[in-house]
Amino acid sequence: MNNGNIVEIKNLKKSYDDGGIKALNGINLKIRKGEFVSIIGPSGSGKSTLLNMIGALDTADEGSIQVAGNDLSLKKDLSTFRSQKMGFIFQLHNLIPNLSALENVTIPMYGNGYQSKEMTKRALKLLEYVKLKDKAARKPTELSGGERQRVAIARALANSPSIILADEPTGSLDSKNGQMILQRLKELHEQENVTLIMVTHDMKVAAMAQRTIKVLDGEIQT
Amino acid sequence: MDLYKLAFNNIRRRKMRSSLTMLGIIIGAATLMVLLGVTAGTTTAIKDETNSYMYDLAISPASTTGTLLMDTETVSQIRNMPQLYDFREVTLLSEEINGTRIFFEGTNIWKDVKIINGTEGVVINQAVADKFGYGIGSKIKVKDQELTVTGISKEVTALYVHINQDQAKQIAGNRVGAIYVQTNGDPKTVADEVEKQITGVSAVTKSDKVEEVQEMTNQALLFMGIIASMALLVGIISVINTMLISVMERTRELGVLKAIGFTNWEIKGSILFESGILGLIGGLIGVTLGIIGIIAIANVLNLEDYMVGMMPIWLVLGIIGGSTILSILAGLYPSMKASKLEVVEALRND
Repeated sequence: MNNGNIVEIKNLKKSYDDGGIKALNGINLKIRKGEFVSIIGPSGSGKSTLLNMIGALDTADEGSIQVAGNDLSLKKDLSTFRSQKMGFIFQLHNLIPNLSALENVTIPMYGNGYQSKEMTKRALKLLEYVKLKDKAARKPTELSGGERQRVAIARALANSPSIILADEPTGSLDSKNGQMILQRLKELHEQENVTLIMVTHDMKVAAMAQRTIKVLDGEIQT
Repeated sequence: MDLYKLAFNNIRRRKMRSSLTMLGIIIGAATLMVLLGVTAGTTTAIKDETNSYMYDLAISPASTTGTLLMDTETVSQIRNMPQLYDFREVTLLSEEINGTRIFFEGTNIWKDVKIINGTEGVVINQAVADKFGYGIGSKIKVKDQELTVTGISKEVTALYVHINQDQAKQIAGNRVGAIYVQTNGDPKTVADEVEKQITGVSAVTKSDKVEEVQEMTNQALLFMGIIASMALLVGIISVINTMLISVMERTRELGVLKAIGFTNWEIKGSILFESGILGLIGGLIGVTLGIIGIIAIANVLNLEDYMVGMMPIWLVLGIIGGSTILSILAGLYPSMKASKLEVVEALRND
């Protein structure tokens, strides 16, 4: 991998239904460390599949994909890789319903060498960062949509990831809450210099990134 | 916060379902505890009783004779055999009083009759006292004799009156139900000689009797064990069902856990832990209820002396351990299903 690139993808192909649906059709992409990139495209264009590949949630049929110095096609233990290198923010927050906000932020730290007290301290600090420290004991059902997504941001930061992947992070929020979440992500990128890759179908949201990548029919549009 | 707390939370989150699942295990474990415990306790009681008799042979009328009593001639033949010594005669009679059959047992060993009130002589047990309203001084007519109650014993399982053996023999027309004897030489050989030399009698050695009791109680233990295990099995099947439903309902949650870095083994472990906890709690409650049941039964059957024997540690630990291990095994299939979930597919699940 070239110095400065945290993601390097060559001729990445992925299909479903025994080749019937070609989700990615020879993607080539490089993303620099600390870059804020948005991936845009209509539904079914392959943008979420591309994000899943970068996040090691799915495996490629062909091509190579290197993320944070790891060749994902060769790596067997993708769970540890995801735990240590990736932070995920999903469209539907995906918090564990029967855990408090604090516990939701703590859970990714499990098995990563933290002591119990250390985990709580760090989780509280992250909740403070997303301005939710006072609601640490609340369950997801006791939080608003925007607050839940902010907890999800705190959870994504739990293990100080190299890359944060956000899949339509404002998709389930109203415009006010959506704007607030985007602002938080932008600040996160600027303050922490974390690589941020965000999938969206909204041009206005995409425009907040340093670079926009358009995906259509499984290919990057130039 | 870890996956094991999450497993606890899942049990708490679905209180009703978890309770119903545990109820199956509780019923199974309690049934096993009561049935096997009582069987084990009564086995000990019977063995103790058999062993307590100081005899080598028990000689009684052969079943082919159709009688339960041996006449004077047979008794004297037995007493004249040089291989036998230390004779103890026992006569058991029955008499119908107000349409109910009561047994009169002759005895010379009064210490075996647990007298709770009064003195030896004519001792009715509590069952007779309760049934007929008898007390000390009451008169009981048997054959042509009138007996005056001198004491009350605590056995309540059957209607029994203990009287002196001489009196019992006299009432029975000088006949005897059984003679317990010591032998000079090997009891088995002497038993064969007794049966050969005296017609119409059966001689059983003490070891034969103990074996007979052992075989009978082993069969009872096995039979009870099978029945009670069925009850526990039903409980365990409900664990499989509950855990499968839980995995289906939590597909998205499990997907999230995988996405944030939990390994397949950790996911499997949390499901197995959850099912194990259901089994452990169910087993603990079941055994506790079983012990309460045993205490109640022991009181009713007047087997308080054998109560501890009804709760052997192997049974208590076996049931708790067994229900936990079986529950963990029941969680295997659901846990494999959970660990095989594709992250992307799981995250799409509604």
